[in-house]
Amino acid sequence: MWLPSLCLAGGLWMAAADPEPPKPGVGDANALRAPVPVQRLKAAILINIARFFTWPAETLGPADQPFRIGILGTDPFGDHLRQESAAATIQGRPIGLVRAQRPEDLRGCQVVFIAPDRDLSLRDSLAPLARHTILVVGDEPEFAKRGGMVNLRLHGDQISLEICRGAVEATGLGFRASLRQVKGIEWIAHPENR
Amino acid sequence: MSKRHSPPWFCLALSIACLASLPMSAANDPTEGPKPLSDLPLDQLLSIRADTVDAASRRNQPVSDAPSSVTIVDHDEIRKLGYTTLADILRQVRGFYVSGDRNYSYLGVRGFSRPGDYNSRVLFLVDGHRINDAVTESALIGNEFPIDVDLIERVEIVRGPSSAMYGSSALFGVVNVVTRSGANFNYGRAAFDAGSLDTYHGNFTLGHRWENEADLLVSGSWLDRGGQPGLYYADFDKPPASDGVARNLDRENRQNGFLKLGWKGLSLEAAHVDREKSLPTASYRTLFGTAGTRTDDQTHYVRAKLDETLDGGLQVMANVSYNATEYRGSYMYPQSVPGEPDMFPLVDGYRSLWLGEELLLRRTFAEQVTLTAGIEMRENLRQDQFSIEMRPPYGLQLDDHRHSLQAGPFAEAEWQLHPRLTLSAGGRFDHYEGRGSSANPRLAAIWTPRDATHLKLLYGRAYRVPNAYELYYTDGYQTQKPSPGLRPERIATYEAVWEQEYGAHLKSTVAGFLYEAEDLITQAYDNRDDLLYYRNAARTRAAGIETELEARWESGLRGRLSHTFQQSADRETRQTLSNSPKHIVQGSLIVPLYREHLFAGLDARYLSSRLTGRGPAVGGVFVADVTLFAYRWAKGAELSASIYNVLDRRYSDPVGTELTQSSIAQDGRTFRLKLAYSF
Repeated sequence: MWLPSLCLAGGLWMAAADPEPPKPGVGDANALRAPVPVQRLKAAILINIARFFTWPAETLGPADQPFRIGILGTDPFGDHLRQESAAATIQGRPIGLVRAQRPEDLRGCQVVFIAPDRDLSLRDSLAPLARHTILVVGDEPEFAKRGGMVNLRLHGDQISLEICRGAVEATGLGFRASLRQVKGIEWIAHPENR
Repeated sequence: MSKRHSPPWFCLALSIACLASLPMSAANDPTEGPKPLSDLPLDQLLSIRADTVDAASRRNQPVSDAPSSVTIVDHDEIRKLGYTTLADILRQVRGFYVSGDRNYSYLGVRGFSRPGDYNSRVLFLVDGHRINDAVTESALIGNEFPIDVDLIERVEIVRGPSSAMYGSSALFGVVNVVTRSGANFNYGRAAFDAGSLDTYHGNFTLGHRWENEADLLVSGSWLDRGGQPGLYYADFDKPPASDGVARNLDRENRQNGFLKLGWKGLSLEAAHVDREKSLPTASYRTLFGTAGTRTDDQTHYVRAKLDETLDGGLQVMANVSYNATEYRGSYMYPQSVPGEPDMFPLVDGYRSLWLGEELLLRRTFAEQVTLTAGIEMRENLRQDQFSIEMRPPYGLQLDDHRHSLQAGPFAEAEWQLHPRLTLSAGGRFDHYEGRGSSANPRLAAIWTPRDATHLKLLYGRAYRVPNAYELYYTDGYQTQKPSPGLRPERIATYEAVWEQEYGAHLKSTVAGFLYEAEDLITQAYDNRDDLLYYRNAARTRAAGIETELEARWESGLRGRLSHTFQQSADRETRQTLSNSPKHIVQGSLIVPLYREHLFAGLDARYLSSRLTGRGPAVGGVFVADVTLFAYRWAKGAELSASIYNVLDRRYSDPVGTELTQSSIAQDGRTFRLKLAYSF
């Protein structure tokens, strides 16, 4: 007999209380979001993280020029990066995607993602980009310790970031102070000489 | 027992119609339409879970890269579809089905569900830790499973043989239950549910992750279920001695405890479950309709684990565990001794204690080859079985004490031959003290011809040594005799999988499989001495095709629809195996009814007719469950209401030869109401 009472009490309690909007990043906040494909999540983070960095105005080109994201090697994102970037903007500009097999062909990009599937070693992939103001992102082991700037690491079933501050600052890129406040980022002072 | 049932085409058409309507439903909701994920705050993006699997290659990898056909069921589905046990979760997985005999739940995979098999052909893991015990090599998946369903973060189902990575028992697949951690809670959660058949269940969990990455989860649960007040069995309808109704003999209760501690790469995990069940079915020829026949199953383990990546990229994973499983059954038998009661209990059981040790090393070379190597050891300290007649002169019918050692080195290499082609080759050599050795390979080729297309060709061999129960158990030759001459059973599988993504929201899977098993260990009945025993059956073959469509939108709208067609038969007699449905149709749908606050969940399944061991076949059946799930109406509160078997279908499952009945009727319509509060 107590069961209907329990239902009624529970229902009244809920109806009387103020609905609470979800609080991102706290406790169970993402418990109701279904898992998403890894590459879709990485594509979203690639775009999102670029918004925390600042480029010298002259490297962005004319105002009508898109913000260019380059993929070196075989594009691992499938259709996800195209869909994520279709309506998104960075630095107030629409996003243009460039794919190439040689790093020299990506010198005009603001962000380059170095895909694991490529012809060149990591050292040979990074060298031609080093003298340009390009945010170099990857997702292979120790990417940020071996000369890359931002590593999208799969940690358990979530993505965590590894950022090499020394490598970023050496290129003339700036970043917003709020990036330091984001949880889930491991900061590395300088790349290791290996 | 079966009513007329819906044919598979009807279920399939209905489900396809539901899924086909999904995009339109999403588009009609202006407030919940798809948005780019990149618009979310970065810290929120970093807390979103990705589609990954740990169990396929003992490492975390995207599902599309795994050398197996993989299904993931996550916490979101578990809550919104109202699942209460691991068996509930698995019965909705493509190609899987579950049978029940009012004591345990038995998992069938792609047409294989042998009588007398207590889930010993699927390897069950909790956070990568083996649960299958050392006497029956089995794991129990109903309320006896050590982890309360409220604590499950996701369940990874890896199809096909995995003996190359895990050794014995991983014949048909691996089920890895990944538990929640303290980070999933602010400080804790209390949940209580009540439902039909006098069922009450509660769970209280404390969990938190601190800034220094220390993570703690402590949880306790209890369940009390009165069960069906009366169950009619025609086999026992023999007036005037019995009217065939077992009254108030379906009671069940359970207590769980779970502890998980973590700090960076170190973790400690402990679990305990104790479940007691009354048996109404008069199995093993016990006295029908009499209280006192019951089983008690306990599982405990403690595991310490280290998982670190050293400078240079070498991943080291080591763990050590202490495990115990105990079973005790009390079975009431009639006796006619002057001056003595007219019945007596026979008590039998087993105690299984083992230490597990494992070391695994992994490193990627030249950015193209990933090598994994390791060794797993299992020291079976006790593999004891006993059986006692609790009547004068109280003789031990069985007092079997054993211990053994088993060890298995394993290795796997993943070689990226081409940016779009990966080869995976692995193998494991296992030595069982006193039972011989076995080497088993697994080969996989994963080809991505286009960005959204993944093709997998898979080959594997697996084996299972006969367990101590099958080899040595007897209850004093009252109903069962030992079978010491059993040989290991072996299986070879060939599988082709095509996974196709359609944009960001739809994914289809088509898998064709061929399983060839030799010396399959099967429970049998010996007419000569009227006793049960185990024997190596002739060669068997299962061949089939599975198709599945999955859909997911950001709004919370998601669904799955699958159809499995398979044929499993004895290769010599060509007779179809018992409890092997040709068609399995499964579907689930979660629909957001009001923003992030109210969801409707529907899951349904159709099983075509199944042969029983010795009686008439059971008819096909369509069963559907519905759940309403309310969330975030008030701070930390959630409420769900579920109706199971909403159409009140009457149906039966085939059961083992230890029962007089050839099939056992399952529950009709039941309901559950659940309230939870997170703080």
